[in-house]
Amino acid sequence: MTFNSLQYAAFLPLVLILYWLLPRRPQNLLLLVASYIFYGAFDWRFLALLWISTLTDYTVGRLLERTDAPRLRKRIFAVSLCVNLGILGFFKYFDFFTSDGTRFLAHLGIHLAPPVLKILLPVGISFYTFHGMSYTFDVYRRDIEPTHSLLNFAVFVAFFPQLVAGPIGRAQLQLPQFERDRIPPDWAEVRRALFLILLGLFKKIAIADMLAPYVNSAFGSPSKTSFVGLLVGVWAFAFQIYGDFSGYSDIARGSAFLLGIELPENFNQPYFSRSVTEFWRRWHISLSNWLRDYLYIPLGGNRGTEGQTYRNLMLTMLIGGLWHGAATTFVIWGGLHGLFLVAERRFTDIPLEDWRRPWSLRRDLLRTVITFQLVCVAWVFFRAPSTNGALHYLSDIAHLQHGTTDHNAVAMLALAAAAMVFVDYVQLRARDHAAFVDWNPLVRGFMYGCLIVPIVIFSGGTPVPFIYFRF
Amino acid sequence: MGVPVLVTLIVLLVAELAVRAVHSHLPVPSAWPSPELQKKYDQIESRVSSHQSTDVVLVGDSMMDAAGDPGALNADGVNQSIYNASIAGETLPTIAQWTMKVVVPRLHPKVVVIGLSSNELNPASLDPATGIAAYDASRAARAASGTGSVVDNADAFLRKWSYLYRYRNSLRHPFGQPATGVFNPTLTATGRDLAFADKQYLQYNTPAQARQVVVGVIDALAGFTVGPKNVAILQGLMTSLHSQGIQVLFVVMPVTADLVSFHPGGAPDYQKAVAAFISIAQHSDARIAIPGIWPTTQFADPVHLNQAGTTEFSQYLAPLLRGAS
Repeated sequence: MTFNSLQYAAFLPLVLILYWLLPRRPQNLLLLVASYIFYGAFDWRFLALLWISTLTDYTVGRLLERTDAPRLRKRIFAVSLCVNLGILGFFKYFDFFTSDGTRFLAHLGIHLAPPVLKILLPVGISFYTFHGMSYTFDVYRRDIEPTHSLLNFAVFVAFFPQLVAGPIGRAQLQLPQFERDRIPPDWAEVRRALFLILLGLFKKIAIADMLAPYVNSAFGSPSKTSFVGLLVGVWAFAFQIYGDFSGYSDIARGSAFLLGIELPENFNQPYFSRSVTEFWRRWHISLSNWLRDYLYIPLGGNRGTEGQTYRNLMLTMLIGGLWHGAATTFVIWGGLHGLFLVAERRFTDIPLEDWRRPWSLRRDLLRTVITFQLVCVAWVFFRAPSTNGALHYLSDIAHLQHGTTDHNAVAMLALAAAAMVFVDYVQLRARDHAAFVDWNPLVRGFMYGCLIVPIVIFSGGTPVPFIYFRF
Repeated sequence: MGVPVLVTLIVLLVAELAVRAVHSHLPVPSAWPSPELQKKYDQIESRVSSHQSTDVVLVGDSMMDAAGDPGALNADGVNQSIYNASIAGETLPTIAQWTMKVVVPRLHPKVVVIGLSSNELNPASLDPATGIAAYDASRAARAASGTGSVVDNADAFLRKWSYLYRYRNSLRHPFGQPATGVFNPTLTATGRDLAFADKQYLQYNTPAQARQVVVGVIDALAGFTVGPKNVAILQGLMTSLHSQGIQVLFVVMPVTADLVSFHPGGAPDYQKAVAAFISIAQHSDARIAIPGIWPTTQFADPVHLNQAGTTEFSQYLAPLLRGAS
């Protein structure tokens, strides 16, 4: 059941009606059942993994509460890490490490034939394992008290708006919301929530799905495409993945708002970033914060020497790349971003807090364009089917390859980019994702109409799954 | 709430009117598995809404699609309203479902002429991946057949009343429609497919050469045998029509000697098919016509009649239909 499906259009209102008729405890029970139905609609067999992860993290939390002995606490905490990373490692990385590892060893003259299990990837596994681990991390570090309610914890892990593609929740912020009574949203909040859902559908259907065939065409047959077509392909992918993922996050946040739960922002106008450092403060914020708090800072962050900071940055970004997918291309994508971050720290004097400064067209446009192009270079590795494919793609652009250029693709990219830049610019200026709902009613109605018409036009085509469902 | 909702509705109305204003310049939208099915469904709906009676319906695959010319039949003295509801590229299960669930309930013909050839009796023609599966998966087909879900029927309703919704496929490519490679023939107002009318026959010495032109039919002859399932579907179709009081005329479509030779067992295979057709017609109380093998000058390729062939076919069919009336 995806957010842009008719099933979800029936499922959400039904859950909302029942939800607000119930008191808190049954509300959580309803949310849990609804979340398992939502997840089971993808593949019910993987519900067992969700239950294992949930029960492990809950039990670890309770056990951590009962002891102060540091060594024992460490061992208990390690159980959570082993179970979550074990599930993730087996289902997501087993075949990658056996196939790529075997190839690597073969280069060294060691020939092995480990089994390739062709394991199905459970939807959202990277999200809910990180979600649960944030809880055990926080309990282990004594940042939060463990919850005594399995029901509340299970709802926190499985909460359907964020279960399969985030934002990755933080126990510190979210768990208390499931433990207290919720007040039904007032009309202004409902309006904001509905707007977020509408905007999310627009981004997914009218931007991401609309650009998908052009991206597939450029990356599917790069040797026949001109360098202009290839550039259009990668720029289109930049907007496709942004529309796809931020659209999902908007719908998730809007749906959660209607349930009286506030989810963290996951995107903050990332293509207005003036540096790659700033990009990571604005792109997939819940993942970058997770990696910062549970990996980069424990590794030492920027508290050591310059060299250690660079190492920590590179390690964090490489692991961030690997989190996205079991493929060398994702590792290179993460590595490239790591290199960009290191280079910015080493060779520029951009202050760390520069991202808080208001964006200015005259002053920041050039840096924004350069940052966008750097991000796009990395996107080529993210989207290409293989490392060689990505290198050929970039090489064909660099050699100004002759070939076909799809003029529809150029025009549609221009329209999509204009729409996304407009929406982001308004949000950036207002520092509010739902800024439009405060506009003059006439303009607001016009805006709603302009979002709905493209949704009507671009819905009902070949279904394009949300990109981040693969991760 | 009032003003924004009102303005939103006005924007939607303006978009709807804009599409209505330019729709004649847009490609015909296709909610059906093929553009031809869409066009024929639209023609049938148009006949129904304008209360145009239809006495005779021609059904079959691309052979009847190209050969059945209602205008020529009328000129040859068939004084009845005729519509060609044949569908190119489709196989027996789809033809049967389309005929019984869509065509007959809407047009209420007195006579149905079924035109098929040996390829439709071979089990190889029943590959669900290429035929009935796509038809069954089509929301429009399900809604039109009366087997649609609430969503299918809502989709059909929106397609009927909103041009913005109906033409959205075309609107997705405002700067030029992509080439789809899908067979999209020009039809006459009475449903005849004109794709083969102006073509002259070229010699095809091998199935491989012919396959380049009529891939579906030649492939459907692979390992030829008379399939019991095919026989059952055809017999079911003819019996159902007969039980509704509709006269059935079955035509074993005229073919080239080349097509006969493309059967793995040659002429004996083709004769087996003809014998099966005769048997099916007898069991269903249907009349049968067997024009046989015609010269290649009448054909656009090993399978489809060209204009000369269509004229000849109309002259062949007209007396049989005059008899039916």
